[in-house]
Amino acid sequence: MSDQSLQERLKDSFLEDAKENLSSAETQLLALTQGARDPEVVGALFRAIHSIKGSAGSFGFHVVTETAHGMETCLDELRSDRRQVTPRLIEVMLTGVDLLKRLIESPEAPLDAQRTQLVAALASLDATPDAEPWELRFSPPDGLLTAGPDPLKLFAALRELGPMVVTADVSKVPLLGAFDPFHAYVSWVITLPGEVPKQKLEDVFDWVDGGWSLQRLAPVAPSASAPLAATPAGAPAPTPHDQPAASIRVPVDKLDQLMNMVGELVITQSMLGEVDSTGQLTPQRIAQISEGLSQLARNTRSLQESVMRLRSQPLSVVFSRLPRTVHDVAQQLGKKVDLRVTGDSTELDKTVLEKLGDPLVHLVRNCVDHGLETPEDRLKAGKPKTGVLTVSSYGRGKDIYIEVQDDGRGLDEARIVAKAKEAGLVAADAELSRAAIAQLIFAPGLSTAKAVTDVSGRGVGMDVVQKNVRLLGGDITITSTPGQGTRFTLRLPLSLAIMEGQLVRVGRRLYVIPLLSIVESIQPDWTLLQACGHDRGYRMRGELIPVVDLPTSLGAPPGDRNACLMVVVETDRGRIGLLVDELLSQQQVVVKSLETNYGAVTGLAGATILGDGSVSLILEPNGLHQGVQVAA
Amino acid sequence: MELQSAPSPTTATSTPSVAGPTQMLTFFVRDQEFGIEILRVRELQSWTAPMPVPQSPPWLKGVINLRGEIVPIADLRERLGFEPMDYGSLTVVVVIRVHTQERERTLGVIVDAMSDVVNVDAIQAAPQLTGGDRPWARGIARTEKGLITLLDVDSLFSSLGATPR
Repeated sequence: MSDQSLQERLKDSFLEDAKENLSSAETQLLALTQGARDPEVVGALFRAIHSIKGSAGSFGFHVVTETAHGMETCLDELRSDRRQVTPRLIEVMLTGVDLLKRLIESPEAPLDAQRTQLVAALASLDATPDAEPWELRFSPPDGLLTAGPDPLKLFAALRELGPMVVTADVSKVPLLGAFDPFHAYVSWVITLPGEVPKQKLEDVFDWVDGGWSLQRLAPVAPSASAPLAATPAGAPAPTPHDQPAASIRVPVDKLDQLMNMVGELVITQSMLGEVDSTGQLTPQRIAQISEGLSQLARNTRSLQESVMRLRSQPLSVVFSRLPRTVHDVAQQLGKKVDLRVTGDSTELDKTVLEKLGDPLVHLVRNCVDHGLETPEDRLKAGKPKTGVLTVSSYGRGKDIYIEVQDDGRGLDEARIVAKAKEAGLVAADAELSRAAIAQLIFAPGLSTAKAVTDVSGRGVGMDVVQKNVRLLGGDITITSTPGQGTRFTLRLPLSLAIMEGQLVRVGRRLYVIPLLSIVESIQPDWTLLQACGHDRGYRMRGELIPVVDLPTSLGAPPGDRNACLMVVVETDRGRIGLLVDELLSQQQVVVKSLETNYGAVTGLAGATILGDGSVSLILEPNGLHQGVQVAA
Repeated sequence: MELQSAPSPTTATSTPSVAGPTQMLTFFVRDQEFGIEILRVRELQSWTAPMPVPQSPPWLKGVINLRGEIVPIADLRERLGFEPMDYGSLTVVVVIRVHTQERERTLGVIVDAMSDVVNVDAIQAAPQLTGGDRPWARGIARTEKGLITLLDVDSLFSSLGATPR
């Protein structure tokens, strides 16, 4: 391995560590906001920042080191009780964490201004909050060097007034040939603590004839955190550092478990090997072999489960982002929110987890923004001032459920209906059930946000959330009670790679229907099958459901009318019936992508390989339903 | 699962001629000998019936299991507009790599019969004999056996007919 790639790899692992440390720092800071004055929390916070500082230095991220150093100094004072935890300190530290994040992700981004502000904010932590730091801009006027005081002396005098941060702008310094030694080319921005009296600063510059200006810096917290909440339109978003090749941290106990499985497998193999294969197959040998084979099947199944578990990670990876989101949004909107997270040790496949982050953050923002009321409104409604936002998860069967629930005002149903009618999503005279109204918020182009704020109006609507969740093979439902709150329930598959399938025969070929979508299978009564448009519907217990004739849509010869069966499956938009020739076994199938070498096909979720090595296609009910609609 | 849309038909970006000596795998389709650059060939497979995929063009015969990978199979005869033929013992599937704008894909191409591997010193741009354009001809190679048309598999199979989602 070349030095270059070793360096790269170490750097990748640094980046990963740093991100982890930063998110840990964030967690600790938010724990501090909730009044936990625990030395351990402060200690963990200090260590996180300290290790970023240390490792950043060895990878040449000197700016990161400097920034972290400033924060570390302050935390050290906190650790040794020379400083108190104040809301302002936490805000400044959070700003610092954000800044470090951006410095690490995009080392080239011009963030000097923010750094200066942070240092100034740290320096002025002891000052009264209203004394914002001074910003002194000094570009020496012509003739300063010949007639005026020595700039160096000016700086020396300033230094006596308090700790200061100096940023020099040397961009105007010409090449040596054009350099006029009597001209001052450099200009400076100097930040000084807010408590320095204005008079003293002006005294220092008393002799300087113009070229300087003095003003108080805008409060640090809002100005520095705003760009994070929303990248200003027009400005390109800071390009995050190239994502290092996907890697995963695996706890040792999972590896041990895997080792055990492999051990079992070896034992089974040797057991099978001991069966004397010479001579005839006596009943006893056959019994031995079949015993061995069933053991092998068990081993394979548990080995498969162990390997799948390697890919899963706890939901806390995603949930840990939520406190910060809630904190920021609540701060911006002046709301009080008590976030309660439970079930964050539930494990999910890494791929699912990664794609879950943004939708979930959006949901939570949405709940704080639209769901929860302001403290005043809550008091009027007879509720406690602080709103409760609960995020919980639990597993049930092959699915994981995540619930996001608030105790706010619930959906504004009248408004949603009005909006939907305006946008032409529903007929003007339509009478909608409560569930149907709730479903409307997932319709694209429906935003009931009264004004585009930082929080909403980020171009991500509930329709995108729903789409993302669907892409993961899950779905999202909403229930709302006016005045009492809203609950979103996300259902996600445990894993994308393996699913329970029902094998069916259509013509000569075998197809797989996802078992989860199957409601029931019936022998259709042909008299109940009726034509509707180009398609057929089946009247089942008073409900007319669309029917997809799989032999026809899959290009197989029409099946035997008397033998064929109808599998009723659940789709997004209700049930449909699928005509198949025969129901075969149910089995776990490994989902293989059709898109790698071919492309996406409506109505197919992918392909799989059956026990005999042949390919089978996995049907996707939602897509099949679409096909019906298009034809009708 | 990463959702990738099927590529839009690529404009033919192929270079008109290939410089320098190269090797070609040649095979017969109808009575004509065609070649594919040998570096594009992954392996040869005997014919196995593929699983048909709905909504695909007639020349796309379906997908097969190539050691756990799902690989589409295209009939070169039908793709070139010749009449279809029954598959027999001589039928060979040439597994090749096709480059599209987004990525590299693996594709099996059904040919009538294998011929040879030939060394080619230079390939000339295909003359537009018929007046119409033949985007699938990447050039003509002169070998001791005669002229062989080198196929431009990238433009020939830029879209497999799958509907982008």
